Amino acid sequence: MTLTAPTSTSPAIDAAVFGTSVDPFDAVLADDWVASVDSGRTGQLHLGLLSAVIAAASGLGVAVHGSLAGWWDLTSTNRFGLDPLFALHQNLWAVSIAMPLWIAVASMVVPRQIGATRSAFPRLGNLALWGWVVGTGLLITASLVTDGPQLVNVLSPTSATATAGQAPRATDLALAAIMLVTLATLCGAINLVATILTERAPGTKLSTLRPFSWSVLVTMGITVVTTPVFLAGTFLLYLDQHFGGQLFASGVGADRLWVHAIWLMGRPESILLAIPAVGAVADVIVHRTGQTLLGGGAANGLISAAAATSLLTWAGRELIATSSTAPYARLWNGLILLPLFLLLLLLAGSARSGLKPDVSLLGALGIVLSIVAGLGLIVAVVASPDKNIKTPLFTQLGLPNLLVFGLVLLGAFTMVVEHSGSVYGKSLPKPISTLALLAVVGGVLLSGAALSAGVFSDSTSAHAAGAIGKALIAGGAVVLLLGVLSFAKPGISTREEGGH
Amino acid sequence: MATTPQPTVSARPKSGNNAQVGTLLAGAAAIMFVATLAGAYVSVRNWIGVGGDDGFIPQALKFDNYAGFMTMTSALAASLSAEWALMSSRLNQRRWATAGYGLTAFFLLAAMNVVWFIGQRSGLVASETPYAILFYALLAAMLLLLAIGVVSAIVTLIRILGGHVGGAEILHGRAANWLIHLATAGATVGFFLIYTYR
Repeated sequence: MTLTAPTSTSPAIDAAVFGTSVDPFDAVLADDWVASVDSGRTGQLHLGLLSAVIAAASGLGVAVHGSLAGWWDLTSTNRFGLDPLFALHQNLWAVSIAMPLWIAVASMVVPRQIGATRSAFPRLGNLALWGWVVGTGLLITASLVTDGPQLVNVLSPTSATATAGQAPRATDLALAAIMLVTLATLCGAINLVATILTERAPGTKLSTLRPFSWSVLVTMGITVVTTPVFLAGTFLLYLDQHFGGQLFASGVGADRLWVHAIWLMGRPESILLAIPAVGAVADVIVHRTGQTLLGGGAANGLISAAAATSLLTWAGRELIATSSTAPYARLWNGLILLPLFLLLLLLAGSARSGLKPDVSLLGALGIVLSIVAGLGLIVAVVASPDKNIKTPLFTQLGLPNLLVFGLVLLGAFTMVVEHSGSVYGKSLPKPISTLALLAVVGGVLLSGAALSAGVFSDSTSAHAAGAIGKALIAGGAVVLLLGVLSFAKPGISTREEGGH
Repeated sequence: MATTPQPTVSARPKSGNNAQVGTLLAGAAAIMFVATLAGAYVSVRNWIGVGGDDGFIPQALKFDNYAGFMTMTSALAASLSAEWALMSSRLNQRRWATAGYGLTAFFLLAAMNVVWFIGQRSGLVASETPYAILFYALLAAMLLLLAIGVVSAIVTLIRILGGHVGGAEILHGRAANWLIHLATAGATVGFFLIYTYR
């Protein structure tokens, strides 16, 4: 690791208070996996743990959808039915996987792309990692020890509130865990934004950032202001459930507060999470064509526009009674997706100049297909004369699988495969990366499309296809985890780009 | 290979810049947190309506304007003394700077004490009305922000004593002052919502 001279007369206090100066302690901690100040090392550990959680969460999805498909009966073995498992599956994806996965991958890739010798706040990066570990552990525990139906599910368009004093005690634990993971996510986002703004190598301008780094900057920048809204909403829900209050039982609390502060699909994050995935596609195209994207900085401009328009999600006035298809299935809400659509056109034009074949292109193709399938489903629902198909199933199961979690998973895995050379010192073996990406692409498309199509057809077969899709995702995560584990080695430090 | 220029690794910028950027980002997050609570307060108030037996605010609740006003005044005094301390620090008047940040921490602790007093004396039962949940949430947010301000003031005081802040090196002090002002803003918003806007 390249160490620079301390910039203050008090490096030890600098490091202790702000964590911004390289001091002798850092040199020791750089080789320590637990408290490493190397953002690449932190990101690798985070990614490895996330892969395990992805596999576990997908396994839960297989169990639930398999039971709904009639393959087995979990309801007889669990006195609370499928509800706690389903809530855990959805909460893990929405809170513990989606944004933390971007933070882990960005922590590994972005500092190398901008020539940073370290992250701006290494201790904050550690806090993001270990806060996530503890929070995710508590979230799983809350669902396992629950003494009643789990009342917290951030993917449900309606709030489930208990009457005064009747909420399961595990609800408190689940909410506290969600707040902890969210706080850790906020720490990671602040660290990444500050790193890009202050730790770039001299001569690296913001306007010349690689598309992925730019997408991380704007996504995390907006996450810094959107995440506290979720945190405040969860805090109110915690107080309400803990004291048996009436805030979320009353009309406005159940409607506005839940829909725009807690429900994932009513928050800007439902769009924001997809943006780095598009940035990843742009990055792969730049890397594989050896040329800049068409239109110069237009791609970065469209990425910024997509991030900014995601805030319009808050402008929707959907109430619980009408929220089953919101925010997407409306013309006005469709405008939110316009910058992403234009960006796809721009990327398609840029890719025409000839792509050097590589496994990562498989992931990029999966991202594009996932977006096209998601947009197609939105158009199908909006255009359908049958208003009855607008059931909660559509947004609860289908679209998040395609346009939110699917894109996060595909984008993150694509970036890991694309940059494994610089992150791990050598590229992942092609069979491992191909197998992992094939499984994840197939799993995302199959489960997303099948569960979305469930509103049009027999839901039993849709759940069966969904279970198979999630099994593929779990398999892909395990393969990538095993591949990454074989690469984890001590002494990895910051390197420049160029390991390909 | 990509045509984008590949950056080279060299010396980092000064760490004070990091502290300021980090403080601004954390401040933006804190503002959004308080703004969400304030928005929820206003939204629920307007939906339920004020006045009458079933109004937003329980009729039995008696407002002690003195306590609320003292919270805001103490926080404002903390902001003023923090700026005085930073100015002294810039002029290398370490003794005055130390006194200033000590006074800042004292004012903020006093404000925290009053907020705690308001919560204890309100007599509100959280399970009875939506107002009670929002009321206690606002008080908790105020306590949290004020506590962050206290920590910032004490850390800066220690850094001044150690000679790490002073003269031209006041970027960390400026960052700490932003957090203190944020605590003041939070206390002011809480005062306005609970005592003035109602």
